Amino acid sequence: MYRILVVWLCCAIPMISSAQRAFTKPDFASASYYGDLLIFSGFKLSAGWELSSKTKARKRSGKSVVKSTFLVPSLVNFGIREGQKNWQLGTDLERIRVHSKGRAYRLLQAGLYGNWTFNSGPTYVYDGTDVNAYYGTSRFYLVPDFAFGFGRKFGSLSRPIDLAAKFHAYGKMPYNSFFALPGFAVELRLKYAL
Amino acid sequence: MRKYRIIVWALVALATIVSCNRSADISENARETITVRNLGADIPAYVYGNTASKAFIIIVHGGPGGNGLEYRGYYSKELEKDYAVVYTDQRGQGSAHGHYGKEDVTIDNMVSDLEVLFRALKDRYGADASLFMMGHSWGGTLGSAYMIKDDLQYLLKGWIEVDGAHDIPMLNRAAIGMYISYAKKEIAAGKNTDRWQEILDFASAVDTTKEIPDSTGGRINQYGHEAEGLLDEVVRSELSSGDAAGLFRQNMLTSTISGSFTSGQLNAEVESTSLTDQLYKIEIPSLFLWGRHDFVVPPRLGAAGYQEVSSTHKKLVYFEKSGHSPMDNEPEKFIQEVQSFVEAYK
Repeated sequence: MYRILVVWLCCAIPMISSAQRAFTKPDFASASYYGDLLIFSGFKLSAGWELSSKTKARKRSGKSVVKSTFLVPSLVNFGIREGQKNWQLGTDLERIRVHSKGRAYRLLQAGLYGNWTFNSGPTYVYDGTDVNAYYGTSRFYLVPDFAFGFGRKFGSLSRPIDLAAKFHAYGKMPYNSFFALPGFAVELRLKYAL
Repeated sequence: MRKYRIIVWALVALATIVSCNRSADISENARETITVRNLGADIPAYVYGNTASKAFIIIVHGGPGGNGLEYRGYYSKELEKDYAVVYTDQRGQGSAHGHYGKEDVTIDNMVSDLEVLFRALKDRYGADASLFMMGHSWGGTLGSAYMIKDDLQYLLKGWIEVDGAHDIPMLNRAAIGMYISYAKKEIAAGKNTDRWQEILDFASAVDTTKEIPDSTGGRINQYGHEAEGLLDEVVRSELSSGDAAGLFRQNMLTSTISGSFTSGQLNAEVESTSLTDQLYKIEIPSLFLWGRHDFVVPPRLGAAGYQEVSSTHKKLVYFEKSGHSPMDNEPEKFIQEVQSFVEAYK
C-alpha cells in the first residue's frame, strides 16, 4: 500500500503540472520539514488558496495590518527511524497577520487530517491455523491539528519567498483503547508565492 | 512528455526492486522489525542480532507501561552476538497501536498476542527456530500466564523468568516482610535512618493477613524501587549505563502516554493475579533468575516458581549483588546463565 501510494504520487506529479492550467492556481506552494527534531521526521507539501483578506489601518501608528485566511491542503510524510511510517492528507485553515510595511508575520492554523500509520516490515496475522505475512499494512486515524508560528518574507515583492516556524499540537484518534494520543511537532516551512 | 514517462518508469522499476526485498534477514547481525496484528492491535517486535543461530530470545518487557526497546542494553547486545534477541512491545504499550475497546486490554488477549508473535517468528525464520521467552517483572506475570495456557508452552524451547511477578498477592506480602526486616537492620546500622524509618512505618501499618488494596500495592511497588537504591549491597554496573541511542529508536512520548493509559486499565486485573498454584502445568525447561535484594518482586516468588513448575530441567539462580534488574546489576553473570541455558536446550 505504502509503495503503491509513492508510485501513484510520482505519476501524479507530472499530471498535476498539466492539469494546473485548467484550474485556478494556488496563491502559494510550500515545502516543509515536519518532525520533532529528535525522534521522528519527514516532510510536508502544501498549497494555499486565499479565502479572504482584510487590511486594517491603525489609528495611532498609521501602519496597516493585513489579516488573511488561507485554505491549505497538505500531504505529510513522517516516520521514526526504525518504526512506523506515516502518510497524512488533510486541510488547514491558516490565519496570517502581517504588517503591510513589515516582512514579519505570525500565524494560527487549525486543520483535520486523515493519517495512515504503516507498520514496519511484514505484518503477521494468525487465522487459527496459519500465520500469514502482509506487507504495507496500515491503520487509519483522524488527526485534528492546531499550530501557531512565526514567519518572515524574503526575496523581491513580485516573487517573494518566506520562511516560517510552526509549532503543532495534534491528536491521533481513536488510538488503542483510548480516545486520542496527543503529540507535538515542529514545522519549518519554505513558502513560495505563485 | 517523454521525459516524464522515463522518470515514471524508472520510479516504478525502483519501487518494484525495493518491494521484492521481503525475505527474512538471516545473518549474524540482523536488524529488522516485524509486526503482529491480533485482536485489534498492531504490535511491533524488533529483531536484533544473530538470526543465523536460529535461537531467539524474546524479551517480554516489564510495566505494564514499558516497551521492548528499553530493554536493549549491554547484556542483550552481548547476547545478540550469539543469538537473536527480540524486543517486543505489548498491546497498548511502546509503539503498539490499533483500534479496540477497554475490554480488550486483558492478560488473556496479551497471551494471545504472544502466541501470534511466536508463530510469526517460526514462520519467518523457519520451523526449526528455537524460541526462548524471557519475561522480566510484569513480563514475568504475562509470561507465566502464557506458559499455563493450553499447550502454548510447547511453541518454546525454554522459559526464563527474571524477577517475574507471577503472584501479586504473594508479592505484596513478601515485600512487606522484606521492608520490615531490611529496615530494622539498616536503622540499627545507622544507614539512611530517616528513609528506612518511613518505609518501616509504612510496612508495619499494612495488615498482611487481609487482602491488600490496589492503592497499597502501588505504594509497595514505589517503596521497592526506593529501598533498593538505599542498599550498599546492590551494585550498579558501569557496563549497564543504558543505551542512549535507543532513546531515539521510538517515540518516547507516545510510549509513555500509551503505556500509562494501558497500565491504568490493566491495574485491577494485575493486582489480583495469582498464578503460583497453576505453575505445575509448566513442563518445558525453566530458568529463574532473581536479584537477592529485590523488593519489587521479592526472591520468595522465584523460590515458589522454581518449586511449583513440573519441568525436569529447571534452575534457580540468585544474584547476590542485585535488586530488581540483575541484568543491569550483574550483567556478566546474567549473560553467562542465559547462555548456558540456551546452549543446553536450543
